[in-house]
Amino acid sequence: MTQAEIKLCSLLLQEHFGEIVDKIGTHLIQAGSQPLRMITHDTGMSPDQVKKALCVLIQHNLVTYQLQKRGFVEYEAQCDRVLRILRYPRYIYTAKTLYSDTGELIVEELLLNGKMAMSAVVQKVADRLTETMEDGKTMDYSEVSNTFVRLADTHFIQRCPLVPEASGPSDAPPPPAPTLVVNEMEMYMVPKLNLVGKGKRRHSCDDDGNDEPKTKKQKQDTDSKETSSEIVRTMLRMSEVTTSSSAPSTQPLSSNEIFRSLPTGYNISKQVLDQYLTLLADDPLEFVGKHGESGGGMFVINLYKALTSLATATLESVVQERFGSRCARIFRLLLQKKHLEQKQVEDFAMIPAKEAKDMLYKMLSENIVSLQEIPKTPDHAPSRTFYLYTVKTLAFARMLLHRCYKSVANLIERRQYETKENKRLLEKSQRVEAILASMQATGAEEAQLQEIEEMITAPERQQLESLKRNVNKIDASENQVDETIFILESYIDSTVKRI
Amino acid sequence: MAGSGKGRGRAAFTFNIEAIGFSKGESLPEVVDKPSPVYPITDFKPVPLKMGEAQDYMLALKQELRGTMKKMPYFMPKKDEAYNQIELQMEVAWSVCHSANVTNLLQELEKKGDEEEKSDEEKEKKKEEEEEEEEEAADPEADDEEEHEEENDYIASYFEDGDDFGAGSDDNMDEATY
Repeated sequence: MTQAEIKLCSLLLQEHFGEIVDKIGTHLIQAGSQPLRMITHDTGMSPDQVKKALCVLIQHNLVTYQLQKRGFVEYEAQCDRVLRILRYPRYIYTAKTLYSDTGELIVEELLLNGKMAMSAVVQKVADRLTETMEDGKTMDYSEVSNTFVRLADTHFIQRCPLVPEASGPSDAPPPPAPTLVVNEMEMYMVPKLNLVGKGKRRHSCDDDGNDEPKTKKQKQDTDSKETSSEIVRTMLRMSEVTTSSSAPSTQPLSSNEIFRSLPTGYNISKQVLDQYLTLLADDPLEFVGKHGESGGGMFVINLYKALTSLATATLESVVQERFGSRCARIFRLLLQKKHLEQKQVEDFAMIPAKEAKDMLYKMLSENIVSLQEIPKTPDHAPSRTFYLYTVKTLAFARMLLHRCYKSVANLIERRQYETKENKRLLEKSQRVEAILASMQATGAEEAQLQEIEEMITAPERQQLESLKRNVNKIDASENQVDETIFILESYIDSTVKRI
Repeated sequence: MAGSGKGRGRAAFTFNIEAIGFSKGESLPEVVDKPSPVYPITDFKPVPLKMGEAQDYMLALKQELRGTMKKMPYFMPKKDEAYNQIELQMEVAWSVCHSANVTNLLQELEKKGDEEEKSDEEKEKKKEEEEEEEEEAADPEADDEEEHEEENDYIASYFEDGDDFGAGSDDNMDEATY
């Protein structure tokens, strides 16, 4: 784990779970797998606090435990799970776009609580929805259950591993840590609950199974033509459940199947669809590939190639915004031609020698391009050696990802600093709002309300406005950097060889 | 002699400088002798953030999520950090005060008794005691009373307590003080 990642994890834990959980979680990330007494000893906290913090982390799937051979239990933190906390708003929003408010609330409840039983989720979500509905209307449990089942079917949520049934005699002492059993078949099965009921208003709130949310890869299609993007979207939707998250490409789909699965609003003829598919398969971007001829042509989506294209586009964009369009031109040229000498760069990019040299050296000093030496003679004499410039995409992507982690950590720190600086003012405004709200509830006069409002002076109001603007901007930036993190991480993961 | 270069003090490279694109006699770029600055000057302004309904909604979701998580039972706020330091300061303050100022001491013990019955957490108790102690120590009136007290018959040495006094008396204050 790099320092930047550890720092970011620490900040995220602190913001969402408090300082104590932060201290213990960060220690585990740095130290690796440790038993309870070592954690207590190293962090210097009381055993009670450590146990509580570990419970919170395990509940939220951030720490796992394992029974060692010697008989004690070791705890290990999952650094990448902690980093996923940045993406929670996106998960909730995605659920909203696909499964409307009900889906959104189900995912939100599960993310807030880590793990929950289906009955508890359904009840809570129904109550929350009922609160927002008009008077007299209530939300039925069955509707929420249906959305829950749909979420499980499309693998948005997943069943947690269970404790195995005790088969032996019960007088044997239970092991220090249960070994959880994951049944592949049951991961997305939903218990047959007969949940009858309606949501209750102003409500404060059975063990059939626990569920946890899972990442859904949202594929972005950069093709400008609407129809072709719709076709690719259909293909992705069909392959949602059948493709594992690390597969290089989707399962082959026949043209007939795709035609049948197109959304009902789309009325393009079969021949037009075939033409589009052929065009897509021939496209240099290679998002779609042809796999065979049966069923009118079998097509796959090349996930790895798509990720590489997306990541490369991100890298190009970064070079363009940091160094200018001419540097970007040189960068794209090097990506295309792989290895070029300095003279060739000047010729192909049509940039005067001096500027080209300057730009190349600037990019070289930032490690965006690298030099490859090819000696002509065995003594590697510089005057008789070729020096070729090249772009190492993977290395550059890793470097950029590291920078992204650093950026988000900096953003969070800055946001916390801004909030701390204006703490007094924020507290004052909160108090005034509370007073206003209570006075309005008891029916106060306009003049009294005006008086209370004037407790905050105009320059203070301005200060609050500017603080709100800054905090919103920083939050929005964090969300956007997380998008880049997603693309780069997916790309880097796809290049790692799997056994 | 060998290796004197083209002229005195002129740089001489082992290879032909034209190979990397510098013409002869041209000024070379500056030597870099320190790491690049932490906040370098950028030539280009950053691109504005993505705007839109989706982004606004996600922003609201993010802030809501942060707020909600702080209210959940999973959130464990920080307790006092410099706990050991406070204990130490308290010990010092105790020893300064009680050796000179006995009546004040008795009052403090009584006050302490009340406060310990009220609060549950030991740490809070200690914090309050520590604040009281510091107030007493800083109080100029205490100095006056100190001098005043020395004139009476109370012998300070009669009231010397062991090293454990400060630590021991913090627990079990339900008993009445005499």
